[in-house]
Amino acid sequence: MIELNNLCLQLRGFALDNINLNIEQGDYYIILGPTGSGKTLLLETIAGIRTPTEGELVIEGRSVVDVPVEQRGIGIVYQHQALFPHLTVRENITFGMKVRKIDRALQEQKLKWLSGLFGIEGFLDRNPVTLSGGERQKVALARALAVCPKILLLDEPLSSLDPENREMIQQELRRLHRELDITVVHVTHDFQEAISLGRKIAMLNKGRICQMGTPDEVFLRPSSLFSARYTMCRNITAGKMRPGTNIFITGSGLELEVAYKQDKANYACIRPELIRLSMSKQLGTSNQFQGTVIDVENKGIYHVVKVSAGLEWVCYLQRAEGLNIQRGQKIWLTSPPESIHLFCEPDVD
Amino acid sequence: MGNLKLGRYSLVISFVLLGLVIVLFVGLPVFKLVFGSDPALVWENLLDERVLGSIWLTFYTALIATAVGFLFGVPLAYLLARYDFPGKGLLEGLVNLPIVIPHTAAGIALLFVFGRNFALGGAFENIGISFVDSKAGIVIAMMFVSIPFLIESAKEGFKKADIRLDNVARSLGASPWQVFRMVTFPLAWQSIFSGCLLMWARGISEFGAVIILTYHPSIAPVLVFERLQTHGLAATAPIAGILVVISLLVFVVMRKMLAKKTKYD
Repeated sequence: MIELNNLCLQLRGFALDNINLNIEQGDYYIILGPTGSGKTLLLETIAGIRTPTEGELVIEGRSVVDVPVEQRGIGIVYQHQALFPHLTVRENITFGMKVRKIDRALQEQKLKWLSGLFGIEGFLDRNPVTLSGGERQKVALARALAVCPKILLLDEPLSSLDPENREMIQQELRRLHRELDITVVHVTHDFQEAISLGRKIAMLNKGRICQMGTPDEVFLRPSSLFSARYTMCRNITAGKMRPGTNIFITGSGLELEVAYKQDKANYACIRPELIRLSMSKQLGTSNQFQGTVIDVENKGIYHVVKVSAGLEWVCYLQRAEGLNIQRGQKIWLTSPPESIHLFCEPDVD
Repeated sequence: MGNLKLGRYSLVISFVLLGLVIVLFVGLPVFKLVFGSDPALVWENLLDERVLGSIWLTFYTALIATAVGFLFGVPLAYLLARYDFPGKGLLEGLVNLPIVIPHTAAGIALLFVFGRNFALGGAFENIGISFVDSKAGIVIAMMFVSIPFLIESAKEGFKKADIRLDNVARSLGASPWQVFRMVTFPLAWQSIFSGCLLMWARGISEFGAVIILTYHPSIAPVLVFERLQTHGLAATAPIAGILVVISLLVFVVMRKMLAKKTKYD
């Protein structure tokens, strides 16, 4: 559906460097990365707002580098909605149909369907500036969908919303994608949003794609220090494999048994929610260490427990587990071999 | 307690007193000009065809200057607001130059280009347009000195119109011309109209550049100058007062119209 082949773009000291992506029909594809990584630039290049300096952009088998924005059949929704402030909600939604000279009766029919789909029938004649963030985002989505785009590009569509509206729009996006079978490319800096919505994720850092895969692959199997840190894999430690074994020795000398051999690995990371805590030593488990609780932080639905045991371990503990953990307390910590993920960071010797 | 309250408002009170100096500085001469003349003289001037003719000439030549300025200045303002290109700073400086050069010097500069004995002026003469002692001369003199006000204001308007709105409009199928007509221009309209008003008002008040190119037919400021020299202060003040009142009325009405049309901002 959308293919980016060795795509490069130079812009005032910033560059998108050799981007290769293959987005299939009906995908919900997430471009994940921090502010300044080039996500919006990449999205605007797909839309045709920016012209790549090198490489190929193919949509439905046809190179579109020279096709103007208005002929690409792509809808775009920005973070701050970018609704036309001088037009009413109704005029915003019908804008695309009006410039395409679509029959007035058909415009009305589509307006009715879209306003019903998003539940915005009540404020069609209002000015968008009088709407809440969530309502504005619904109008922006309705406006983009009014011209039946083949591809919908979303630039941080949830970032400017309060938690309640964010949850609501997230549900709307999931429903829209399911019901309309549209190809969505969604840009975000929030990895939780990416994992919750995306079928596939490409992680972007400093204009380069550093990892691609399903949400589980990106979340559980980070391939670089950047990916590991960005997906909040808190226990990241440098070290090396003991040759010929499946033992990883951390820089502090701690020996971790891992589920597989990867001789070149120079980093290990363990997701904090996969670490188990117990008051007494458990029988028959490897990677079990006794340590001292150095901090307990209440996060509402879970606790963050920091334990010093060879390393400074960070563990997420569900409240429901009911352990009464206090600072300074001795505690046992278990990290099953399959919870440890190894990777080779190329920038480190 | 009283001292406390006074302390709390001391900043506002000080600024009101300082601001009042400017209000009086501008307001008193205008008030004296408008209300200080003998009503009989004002009435006499209101019936004077030459006075009314020159006021009308001032207003409509300034309007033509603004219209021409709008036609050529708004596209330039759009380019300056939306694009970066080599020499942009120099171009912006050039566009604003008429603000800093003395207007009599501006008149002489225009004469060097649009005068009968110079290339461009000569070419226009061949098609029957003269810029010396003619309405066309008044228009170009007014336009030269007042165009920076329109361009600067329009430029700010285009800068304020979010470029992402253009992008969205294009993604919805609008051509660049449709985007300009349906999105960018309406959003920048308030600033453009404001700039037009400023340009028009600045055109009405122009004297230095106009008098070099066109003494006759006389616009109101030139007539005021002429009457002052020939008839004295008392006979001239009513004309100046009438000019001020009419300008003020038109300006206020247009500002009100603008405020009504842009409720969304």
